Amino acid sequence: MKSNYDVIVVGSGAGGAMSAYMLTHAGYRVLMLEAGRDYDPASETPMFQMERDAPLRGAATPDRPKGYYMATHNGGWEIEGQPYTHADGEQFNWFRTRMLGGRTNHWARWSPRYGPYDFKPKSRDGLGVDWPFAYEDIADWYDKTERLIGVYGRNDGLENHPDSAPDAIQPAPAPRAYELFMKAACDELGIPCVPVNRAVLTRPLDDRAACFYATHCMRGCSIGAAFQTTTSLLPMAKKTGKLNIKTGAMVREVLTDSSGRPNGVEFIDQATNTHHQVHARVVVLAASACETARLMLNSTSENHPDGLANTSGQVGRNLLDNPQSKPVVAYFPALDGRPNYDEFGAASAHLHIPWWLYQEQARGELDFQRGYQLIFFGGRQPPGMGLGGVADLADGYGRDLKQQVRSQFGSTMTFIAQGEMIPSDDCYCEIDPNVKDRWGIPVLKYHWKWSDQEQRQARHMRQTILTLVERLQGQIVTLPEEDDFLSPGGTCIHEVGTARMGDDPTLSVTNQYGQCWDADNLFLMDGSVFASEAHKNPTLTILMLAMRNSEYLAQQLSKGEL
Amino acid sequence: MSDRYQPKVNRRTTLKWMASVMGASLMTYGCTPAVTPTSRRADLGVAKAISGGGYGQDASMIHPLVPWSKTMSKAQMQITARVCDLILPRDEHSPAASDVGVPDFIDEWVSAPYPQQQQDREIVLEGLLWLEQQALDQFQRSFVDLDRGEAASILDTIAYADKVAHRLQPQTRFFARLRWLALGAFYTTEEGIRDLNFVGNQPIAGDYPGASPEALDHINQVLTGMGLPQQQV
Ligand SMILES: Cc1cc2nc3c(=O)[nH]c(=O)nc-3n(C[C@H](O)[C@H](O)[C@H](O)COP(=O)(O)OP(=O)(O)OC[C@H]3O[C@@H](n4cnc5c(N)ncnc54)[C@H](O)[C@@H]3O)c2cc1C
Ligand code: SF4
Repeated sequence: MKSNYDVIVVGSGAGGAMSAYMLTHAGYRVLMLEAGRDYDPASETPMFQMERDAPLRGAATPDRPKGYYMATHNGGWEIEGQPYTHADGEQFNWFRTRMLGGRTNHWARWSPRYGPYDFKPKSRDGLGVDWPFAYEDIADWYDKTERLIGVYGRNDGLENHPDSAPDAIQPAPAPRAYELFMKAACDELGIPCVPVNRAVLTRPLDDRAACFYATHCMRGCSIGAAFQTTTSLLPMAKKTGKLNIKTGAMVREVLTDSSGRPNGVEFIDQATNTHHQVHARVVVLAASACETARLMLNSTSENHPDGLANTSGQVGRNLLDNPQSKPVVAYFPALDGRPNYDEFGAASAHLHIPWWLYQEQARGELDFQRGYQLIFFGGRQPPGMGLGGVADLADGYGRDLKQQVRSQFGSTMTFIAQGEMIPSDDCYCEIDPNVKDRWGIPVLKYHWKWSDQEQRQARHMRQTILTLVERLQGQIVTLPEEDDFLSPGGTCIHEVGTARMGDDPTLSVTNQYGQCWDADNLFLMDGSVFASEAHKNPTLTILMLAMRNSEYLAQQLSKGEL
Repeated sequence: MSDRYQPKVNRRTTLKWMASVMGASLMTYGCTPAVTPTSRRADLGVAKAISGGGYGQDASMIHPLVPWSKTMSKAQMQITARVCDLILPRDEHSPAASDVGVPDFIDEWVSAPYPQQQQDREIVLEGLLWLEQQALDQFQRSFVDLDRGEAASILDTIAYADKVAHRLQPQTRFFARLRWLALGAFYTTEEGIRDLNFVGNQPIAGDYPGASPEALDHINQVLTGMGLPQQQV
């Protein structure tokens, strides 16, 4: 392929699309390589389709693990011909989606900011590592990111949950009745229960419409209200005339010249099953945290026997995910037969419980470090298999059963807690020398163990949920055992950390701009660069870093530094 | 045994069934109910082997297809229809399960080539055979020919969580699973959704209003009763 490009970007998800958007708007010519197929949200999104129109009433299967209509084309926990492996007796669940826009087509759009404590965790409790900047250094970039992608939420002024600039945040949708019911218990117990920030428009932005509160965001949003790169950053970048996107292009490795400096990539064109090399001044990797580590570890040469930009030995290490509870389901008889109204809203939860015991922790009153958020779903949502737990609750049969279902529909809630783990030597990925994917590319092998830290945190999660259920006179429908409360690593699908940034080239892979210490024209623009992972959904921070770091990259290019 | 239940192939869906089965190999289900000397051995025929793969990871969401064939025998379908109608009978709010094709859905489910469905297949087919055997043992007739009271006397032993004798546990699991499937199938139909009085999936112009005034009043009354603070939208 002829090299007409300044920058090659690998991956079209959150990080890759933001990078391409910034670089093309700065005037640079970008080639984006995406392993997945092309995807057209306008014609492919099943906005109003009913579950009854789908096989198995839309129930989840290995082919569609989030449900038939969720926009996970060619995605899931397992992908045919693209395996990954585990260390003996260990498990890490890896969710990939092979389509233009990656996992942004179906993410739940929860978009909290990291706060001051989250970037300096080691300074606070002595564990893990600090990031190479403080919240104050990047607060403006969060504002810029929120303005560009569109985020709704509310400024509540909570400790370590920073407010946005007033013009950067759109109004949050009003709470539903069952959410206020939960909030009342929280109010009494001194637990914050506040609006969720989500990358969903409640006001129009550019040519994207505001939400109309009627369709599932995880199916994708053809009107553009829910942020996904395929309806926003990618079309906007294309409009500059500087972006060329090649789908079906599986990048195999980063190429280097005789001095060991990156100068392009080799990819496999899946349509023809042929290998191609393409060159550019700069390579940006945004293939998602683990795929980026895999690419670097597979880019071996005489100059880089342990993989590219890996003299620190940290590539693949420090893998993080939010320790996530198994779901707890409870039934609240007090909600039975309540007045009916449209409870769909913006599809996801409108209120949640962000971590609140920072001072107690600082005083040493808890037996674990770092926090968790508590998520609860419920209400009168469009019926699907299981009826939100009502079908598990059912007893007997006949007319009585029908009456039971009628009155209990909308009286159940499902709780999920998502916490923060401490980076651990037990959690990492490496190349499995024995297994290759369908193109002959060596695959990742995962190592994973929860530490006592996360297990103790999990006990606290469980206790908080039980306290809330009890205060609201609820009945437990499903409750995982105390010592089996956490799902396997990766289940939260917030994997980050595999090529962390830092101040010290011997302990980190990149500087604070995602620029590799060992190769100044190789940039990482996905979650791989996270130095720690707060209990907060990571993608807003991935987007923020990609925006900030792409601007830095553009400046370096304009100065002729690269 | 009469074929009372007619498959509802015409339900308004975009599902399409593939041409029916290739030479079905016989499968038996290792269930050997206690047979008293005077009763017949229950026989519901044999389900066809699973055929056809899953829909794959890139199936169209706009034109969904079910690529596998249904496998339940005629007799299995008849008893499924009878049990589903006992679970969800017609009442003043909505029709019976078999009026809206619930038995066809059970067949679609147990015929699917995925692990969860394969597991349910065993539970459901064995459970149906157990019901049939109970009918023969106790009333010397097929389950589908029992009157409501007779059928209920069998179901009552497995349908209530607190009344179930320990020795019947696998049958209880069967009934709970079949009920779970029937409920999901039923309340996702147009008629079922109407019965639930579900409001939603309708575009709203402007801001989402949150809890309606009536719903908020109700919640605040409940909260007062619990000694919890009042809320506002
Ligand atoms: C069901 C679900 C719900 C989620 N909800 C939330 C949420 O509410 N909030 C939140 O913050 N996060 C959420 N996430 C996580 C979120 O989707 C990810 O954090 C985010 O998409 C990561 O962005 P990315 O650009 O790093 O990777 P991705 O979005 O995964 O994009 C990477 C792209 O790179 C491509 N690629 C990979 N390898 C190669 C290669 N070798 N060559 C070429 N291309 C390649 C992939 O095909 C993919 O398109 C959710 C995830 C899932 C699955
Ligand atoms: S609820 Fe709103 S944001 Fe979500 S898919 Fe529907 S219109 Fe889009």
